Amino acid sequence: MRAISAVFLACAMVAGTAHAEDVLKDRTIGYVLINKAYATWQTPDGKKECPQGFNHGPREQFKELFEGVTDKIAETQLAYEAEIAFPGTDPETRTFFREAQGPTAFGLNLDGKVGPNDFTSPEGEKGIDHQMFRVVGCTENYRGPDGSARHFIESYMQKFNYNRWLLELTDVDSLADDDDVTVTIYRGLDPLATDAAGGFTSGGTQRVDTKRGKEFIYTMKGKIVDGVLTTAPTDITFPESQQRGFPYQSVHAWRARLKLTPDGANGLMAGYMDVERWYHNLPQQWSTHHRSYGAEPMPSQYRAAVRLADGYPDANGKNTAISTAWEVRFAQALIMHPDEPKTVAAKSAKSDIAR
Amino acid sequence: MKHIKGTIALAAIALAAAAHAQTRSKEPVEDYVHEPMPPGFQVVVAELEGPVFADASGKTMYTWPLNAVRNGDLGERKNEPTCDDTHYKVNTGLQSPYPGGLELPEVATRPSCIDYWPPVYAPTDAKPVGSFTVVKRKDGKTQWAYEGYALYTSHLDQQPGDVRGGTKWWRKGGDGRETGVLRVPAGPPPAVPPQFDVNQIASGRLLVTAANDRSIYVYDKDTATKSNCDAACLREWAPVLAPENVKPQGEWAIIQNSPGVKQWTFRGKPVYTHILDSIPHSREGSDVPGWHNVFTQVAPPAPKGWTVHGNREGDVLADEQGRTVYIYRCNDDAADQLACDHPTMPQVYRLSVCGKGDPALCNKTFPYVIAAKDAKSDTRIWSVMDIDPKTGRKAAPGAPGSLHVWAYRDRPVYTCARDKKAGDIECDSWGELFGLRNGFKAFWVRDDFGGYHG
Repeated sequence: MRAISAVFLACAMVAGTAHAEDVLKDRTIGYVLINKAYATWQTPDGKKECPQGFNHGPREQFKELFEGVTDKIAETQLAYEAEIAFPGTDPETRTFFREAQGPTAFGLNLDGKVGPNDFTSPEGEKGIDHQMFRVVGCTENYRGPDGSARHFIESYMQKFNYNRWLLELTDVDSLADDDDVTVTIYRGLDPLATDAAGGFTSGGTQRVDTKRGKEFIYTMKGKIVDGVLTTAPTDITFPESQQRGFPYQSVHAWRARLKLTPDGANGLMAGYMDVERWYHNLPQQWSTHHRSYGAEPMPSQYRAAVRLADGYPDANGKNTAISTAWEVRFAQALIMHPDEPKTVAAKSAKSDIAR
Repeated sequence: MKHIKGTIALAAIALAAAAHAQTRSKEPVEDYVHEPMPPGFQVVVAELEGPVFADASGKTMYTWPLNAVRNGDLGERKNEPTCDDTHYKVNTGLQSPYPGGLELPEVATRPSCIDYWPPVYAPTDAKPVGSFTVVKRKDGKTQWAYEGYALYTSHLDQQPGDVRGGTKWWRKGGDGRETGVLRVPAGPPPAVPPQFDVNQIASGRLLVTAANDRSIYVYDKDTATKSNCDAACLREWAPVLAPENVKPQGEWAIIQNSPGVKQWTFRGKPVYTHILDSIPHSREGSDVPGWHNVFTQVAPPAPKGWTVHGNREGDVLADEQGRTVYIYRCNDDAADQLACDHPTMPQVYRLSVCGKGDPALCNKTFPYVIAAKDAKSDTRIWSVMDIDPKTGRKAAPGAPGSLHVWAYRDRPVYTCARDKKAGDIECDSWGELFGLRNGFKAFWVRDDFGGYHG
């Protein structure tokens, strides 16, 4: 059963309908990211992909590790936090990690091959590379539609301008078919445009962050076939913060496959996520307390991600990156470069949840 | 609009003061509301925190207001001091997700609350003075309180002007859900009109609007009697208008650019907000040539040769080698919420998150910022101290094997081995509760996105 989150299936693209000729000015169209989540294929009861059940989180692991063993802070709480900061890769003995199972997952075929560990998409596409699904697929924090981390990662992506992600297509002749377009990723500076009901809408303006966002600017080639944009694999980093720390994700051979309309774009993006950067992002943007909301065992996840990593081997042959896919949705936006006139930015929303 | 320096290298963190090139001794200090005080009490203007109340010996006074922790509230209610001589042996379990009843580190020698926070006792016949009242402790003794909250001094403060027990930085005392319930320096309100307030940031005491913490700016082309912000300028800068019936007071005056339209001036400059500022207490407007944030008081400069570097979020302080500087923060989970961020306190917390309990690994992952043998600081906020690297404890000056290191607020500062270039913040928010409860935070000088620094 398809279980891409309700947001992505049920919602209309965005309010209003624009025409391609209205928004495609100077052969350019811009988009701003409004939804992003790990692409987690799931059944209603989770039994198919998680036959061993869902993972235990920090509270449960604390009991498994320490109850009846010791009651000293230094040997319990601090030992657990030390393990989070410096996770090991030795096999777990007192705790148990549940990987997502089965042949089905969302994602893209990143290496162009069909391998024994690859998935098949719900539409039947073989060779899907998405080992991160095995890491996060049976952790409630990431399951749709209301996994806590899933919700808050997206929520902070929407309301914290640090995370603003722009996609600009230039040299575009047609949003339906064009075999050579240029795609540039920027960080934007402005809040998302909303309609009267608070929904994210197309037509907003976004200033490009050329000051602090230089490290997030990437240009690549793309092609549009039957209204679907596919971008060339490119190593990128992108900001991902829940307003606490200010980390980023590093993705090798990142690419997007997006259905384009004048109002927006939706689909998948995927690549090989750097395991070390991904892992340290976890405690840097959310705490053990927050990870407990959705029973997320960080040290166990690290072991799994190291074990399942499937790309970018280091000098010793150890893979350093893991295939990952996100479901994403963009709204059309007017992207303003520094030499263009300024607009008055609305004040950022204060973070008022998840503390 | 000014643009874009990827890396900003300045000799001091006091960015706003640099334009005026004044020596530190000539820097103005924050004026405050002169309130009646009990006999012997005084106001001391501290280097970073501005005016604070002090006892007769000059020791800064603190309160411990009730605050939410994850699973409950701790701290003191008005008129109900709870800090006493109990030697707590276990944690409360209020710091989710960990349970209560766990034995605290170094429990046999753990001090009591009043060992760290001596109460400011009042004579038995003491009478309330202004906002100062007398509250009764459970042991029957009387204690001074300010605005209802019992007053304490800190065992860490050595000289008048020391404010080592707590800071107004970090969300005006801290968000207990993430930092634990912190002690807050007590002081008189700043002498600013009701439309204004003062926020503590690393660079000093930043003037903001009271309603929404929007930063206040001044313009080089203005004079004490005239705004030269023309029509184009006014599209980006909003004069802070004064109500019709206000009068000049202290450092504050009023000008009229148009009949009936009054604008506040501070220290001889008309004041504005920057319409394009995207967050509260922003520094973005200071990127525009000729415009400056306003500080009632500028923080002391960092050690000589240290620099400031930009990154994807803001600006961070760096040592002489350009390596980002980190502060270690720690508060325990006992009922009295004692700090654990000082080199005289248990090091087991820090060692757990910087090296899995191994001091040698800690010294590699979060190296101390080594000071030259003859390094000296002209300020109290920055200092040098000797540390035993095998324990993390303070060492006697020149003790064999000790490290001579830089300290901020009497706590060592660190760099991070993961950082590879100037401005890197790979170890920001490292440890428990994003580095706020038992961990490391980069030394943030400027934040352009409204990050959550606790």
